Amino acid sequence: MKSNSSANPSDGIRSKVFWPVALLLVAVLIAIAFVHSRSRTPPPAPSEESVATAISNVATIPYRATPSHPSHQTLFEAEPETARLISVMLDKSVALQVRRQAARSLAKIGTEEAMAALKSALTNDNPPYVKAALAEGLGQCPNPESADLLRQLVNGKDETTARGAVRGLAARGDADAANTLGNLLFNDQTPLSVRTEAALGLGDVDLPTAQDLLMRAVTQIHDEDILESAIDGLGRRPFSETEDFFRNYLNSPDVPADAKVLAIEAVRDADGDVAPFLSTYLNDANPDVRAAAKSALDFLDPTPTNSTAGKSG
Amino acid sequence: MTTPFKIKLFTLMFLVANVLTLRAENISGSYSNDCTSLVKLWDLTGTYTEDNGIETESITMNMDANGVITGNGHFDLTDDADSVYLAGDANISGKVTSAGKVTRVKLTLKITSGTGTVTGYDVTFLSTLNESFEVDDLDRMLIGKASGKIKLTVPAFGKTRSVPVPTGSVAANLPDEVDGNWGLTMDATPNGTKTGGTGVLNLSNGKTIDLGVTGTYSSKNDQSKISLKNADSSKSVALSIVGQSISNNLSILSLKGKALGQKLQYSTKTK
Repeated sequence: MKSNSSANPSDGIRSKVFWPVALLLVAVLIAIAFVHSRSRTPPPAPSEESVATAISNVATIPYRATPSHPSHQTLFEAEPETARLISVMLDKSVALQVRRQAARSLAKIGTEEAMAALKSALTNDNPPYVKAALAEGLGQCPNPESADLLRQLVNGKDETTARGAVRGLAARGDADAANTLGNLLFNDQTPLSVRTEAALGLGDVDLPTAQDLLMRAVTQIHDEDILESAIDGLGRRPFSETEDFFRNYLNSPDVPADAKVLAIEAVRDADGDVAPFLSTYLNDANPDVRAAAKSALDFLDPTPTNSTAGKSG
Repeated sequence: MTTPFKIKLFTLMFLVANVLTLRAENISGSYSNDCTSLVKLWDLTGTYTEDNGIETESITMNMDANGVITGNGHFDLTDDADSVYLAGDANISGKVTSAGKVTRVKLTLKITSGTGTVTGYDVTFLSTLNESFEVDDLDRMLIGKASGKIKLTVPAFGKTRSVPVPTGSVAANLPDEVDGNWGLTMDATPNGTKTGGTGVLNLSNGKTIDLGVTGTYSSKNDQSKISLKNADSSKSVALSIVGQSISNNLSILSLKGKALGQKLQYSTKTK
């Protein structure tokens, strides 16, 4: 099977996979420069120059290929071109991904002209995911009006836009944003897709109150979709901050095995050295928990010796 | 009996007979329903490829009946102009979930063998990338964001560093065969007001999941309640259907349950 190839070079699986690869490349080059600058035995000057040139040239490849990534915003925003971004955002003949990026960039500019265009775009017949991107961009908008706009959007009728606004609030990451996300999470009148997005968004907010809200949701909200999202949200936080919670959760006799499996999956993807923690559940009494721990460890370290101590599923 | 009265009586009997023949019945026999118009069911299984001259990528993902995704991929980056040559293999793990109106895809890409050269210097790297998508049914895309970390080694300098990969937006077109289409077939044998039988959940990519069928018929409300669950001991599919069977056509009034990690919900009342 083969995917439908896109005429636009910015479309396709490359956008999903190439971006990470491109990011990798940029990170590689940055790291090379970093390591290079710290090297006690620097290579000869000609080589140093050639690496620096490569860094300079190659770092722009992703931008040239796909002008849609925040890591390249500085290139994009050096010349705001508000009118051009408005035109691209509203142009139905332009690829959705490019329109989304224009909307996001426009929101980040935040001038009065940009804000007027954004408000107009939100009320017009634009694709939901363009509006969602716009709302995401408002999370990094310097205009003081943006916070109020985001609070309106999270309660709007269009759930796709509301979820984008939730991600925008998560990007703001301040106490007010955390409070708004918490209210959405605990409000049973909020659409389920938005409540779960709020849980995921709180996972990205670097404030203790955000983690407290998620832990409270896990214990107080019994909807299994929200529970899963709250656990996933906790999994997005540094493992050093959530280890105690996950240990207590996984060791609790009152937590069903299905939920423990979700917790193990979340821990697997958390930032930190999670393997020693997961290894302790290779011998859990529940076979589903054991299997989840083994699966997680196998993925983290595909070498065949990592989980031989555990019982098989 | 006058002639006009006879006509009226005849007409009345005809109408009653018509009503009786339109009345639903317990499910019996073979049924085939395309459920796509009720609610989409996504199987992301497929191979995704891209080649723009500098980069070539190929990723194969397989999704099981629980919505769990596994797969692998390979990428090559050949940039002669900048003397950058990178290649790597990635293991992929993830899952599909849904909540209300949104279907989410969570993927983790683990690059375990990244190698290459940059202006003649050998580099190796490991990387983990976490990606979160929503399925955009309208435009048939995955839309989301990605972040992660990379562990880079430059042997020439004898150094290894870990570098975070900042959050960025990502998107991918869905392969042609990933269209959310699905259907159900059933062979039912009635026993009084109850029924039993077998069924199959059919995905548009040709995958099938065998199901067991049980049900009851209520003449009071003229509806059948049908339960479909995995024929084997797995618990990946559990669907409850309320419908009316008329002349071996099942009209689905409501559908609720889970399959492929997704919650499915449809009702004629809420549509």
